[in-house]
Amino acid sequence: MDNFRLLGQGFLVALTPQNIGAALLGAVLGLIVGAMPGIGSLAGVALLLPLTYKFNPATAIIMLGALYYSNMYGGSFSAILLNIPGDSPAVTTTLDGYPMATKRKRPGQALMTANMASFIGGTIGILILTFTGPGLAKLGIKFGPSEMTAVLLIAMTSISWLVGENPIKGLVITAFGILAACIGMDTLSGAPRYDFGSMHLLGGIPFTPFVIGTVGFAQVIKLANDRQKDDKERSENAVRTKLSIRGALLTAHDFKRLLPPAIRSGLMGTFVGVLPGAGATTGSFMGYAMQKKFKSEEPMGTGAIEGIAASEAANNAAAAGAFAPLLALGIPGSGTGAVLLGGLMMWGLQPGPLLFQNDPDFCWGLIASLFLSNLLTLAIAVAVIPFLLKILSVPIKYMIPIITVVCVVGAYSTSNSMYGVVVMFLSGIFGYLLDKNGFPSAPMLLAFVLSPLLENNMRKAFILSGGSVSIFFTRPITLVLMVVFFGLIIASLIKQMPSKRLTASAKKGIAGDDAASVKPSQQ
Amino acid sequence: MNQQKQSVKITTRIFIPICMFLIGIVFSVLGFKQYGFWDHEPKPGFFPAIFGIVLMVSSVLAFMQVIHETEKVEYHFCELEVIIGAAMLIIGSMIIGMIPMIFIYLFGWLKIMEKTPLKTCIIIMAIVGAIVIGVFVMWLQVQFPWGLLENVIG
Repeated sequence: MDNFRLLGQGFLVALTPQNIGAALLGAVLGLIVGAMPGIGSLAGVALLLPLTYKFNPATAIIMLGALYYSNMYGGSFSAILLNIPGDSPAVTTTLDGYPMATKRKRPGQALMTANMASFIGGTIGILILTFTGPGLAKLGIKFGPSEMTAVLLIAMTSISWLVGENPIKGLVITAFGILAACIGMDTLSGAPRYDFGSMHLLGGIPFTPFVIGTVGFAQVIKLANDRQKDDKERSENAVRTKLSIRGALLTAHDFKRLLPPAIRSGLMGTFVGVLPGAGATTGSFMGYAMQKKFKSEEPMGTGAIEGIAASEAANNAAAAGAFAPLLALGIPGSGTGAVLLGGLMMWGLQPGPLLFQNDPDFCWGLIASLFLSNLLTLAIAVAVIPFLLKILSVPIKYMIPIITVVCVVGAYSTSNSMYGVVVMFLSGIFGYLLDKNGFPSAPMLLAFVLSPLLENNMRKAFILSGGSVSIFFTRPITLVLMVVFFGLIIASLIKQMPSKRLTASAKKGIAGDDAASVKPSQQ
Repeated sequence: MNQQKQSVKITTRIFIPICMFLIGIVFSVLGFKQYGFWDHEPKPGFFPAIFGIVLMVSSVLAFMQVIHETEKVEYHFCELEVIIGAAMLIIGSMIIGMIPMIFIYLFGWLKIMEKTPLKTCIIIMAIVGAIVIGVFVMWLQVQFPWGLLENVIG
């Protein structure tokens, strides 16, 4: 009951005109930043941070918190409409969002699903943060290197074995993603690795240009085939999509499909967000992987509502969960969390166990403002759907140069060098070749983003245990997670064996949504 | 353009496992030999060496799988056009700067490749220009490269 009273006080802080305005501004900027490929919440928060120097701390964190939060919504816009994730947590949204918008011709519903799932996941995350925030943070801190290793192995195994129906190709591409992430400095010792004498490779392969290329630019190359078909369709059918909110509304059946994965992923995403270093990207990948274990009305990866809901609910919930260790322990859960931590210190606050006692107005004002931001962002995100849908009404022949420019500019803006653009270009060609040859690219991205975390935690675990693997089987939490990990592998093997699906899919060369791709003969 | 005539049937499916196998060899050999695998604790080569071996083994399995795949992989010239266009945009950005090159690329592509009316070209260029200059240059203050012009101006 005490939490209710404190939350009530928080709302008194959050609902001042000044703070509502700050939340609104943060929400709008977050949507824009999230929808722009290559910027992401980290850059958005970092850019706004200096502007908040003269604000009072509560107003400042409310604005930045709203920006961070709405960024998770915005990331899905370009993922669904252009197949370019606005930020890394939206990578899994592209898997079902883009097919639902284009192949199933339900772009409005895809956006609405993303918005509703984000809202549900976010609300679950904030509710858990409200009632268990400090306790959750303490649980998160119990996750040492061995536990984190097990969690990351589960995440990687689930997605790589299950995206597409071909586990061997998934495994090849996952291992490649892991090795690609090893290029550059070794994060534990600082020693250079696999740089082959190149100064650029010494800094590693930048993630955002890599994602923009593999997902976005590869898609542009594939779009070239659809130009003439698109022109023909347009001349035959002038109105393609309803440009209204009403036309984007979900049916009761859609909502029934959306709700269970959103709730499940919301709960899991919050917990992942609490884990140090995990963040919204891991949350969305795990949410999507978990949904693969449940029944979906349509196959995942072909435009399933369940896929969008799982991914979006998880990343919003993780964004909320990340505030628990940040406020209660002073431990950022992600890069954006680290910038927010810098902000807290800049405003003269000391995050940690005493923050809730010493500055209750600040802490509870922030939590209350997250409720407010979630609601404001949902309202804005729904209101802009008709404008967003207009993007899909732009002919493909115009979209090709526009998206190419967005890819180039996005890749440059994240790395501030032409190296990032070159990485985007080469990874785009690589992603296109993978897709053409039936290899899924999503496991590679997951492996690439999680690999440094996995390596750090695995090596630390071995250092702690003196080189013994027993550390993975003697600690209770780790043991449970390792049982889940091996259970997943065995279950996948059993699933593959009797029906010889592996051979069948090999013959078809299916991977991811490749099966639904447009045949060249249609040109 | 007649894409039926331009489609080239090449089976590239087997090259991916072969390339992956070679990458696996490079990463594991360097991991074991150059960066160190284990010396009382895991060394920088420990993790990549393990996954290099995983890549090699899985590549062999994938190779055995793909050689039985009969479906041809088709490539089209129009796809190459997009790649060439983007390459020209990148190279041009290094020479005359990214922002001027974006407008040249947009105009060139829309006018030459798509035969777009001038009015539509101008509208599209204005929208893209507003996003690039408004959001990236003015708000986010991204310093786009000016290529060789930077040396001339500066």
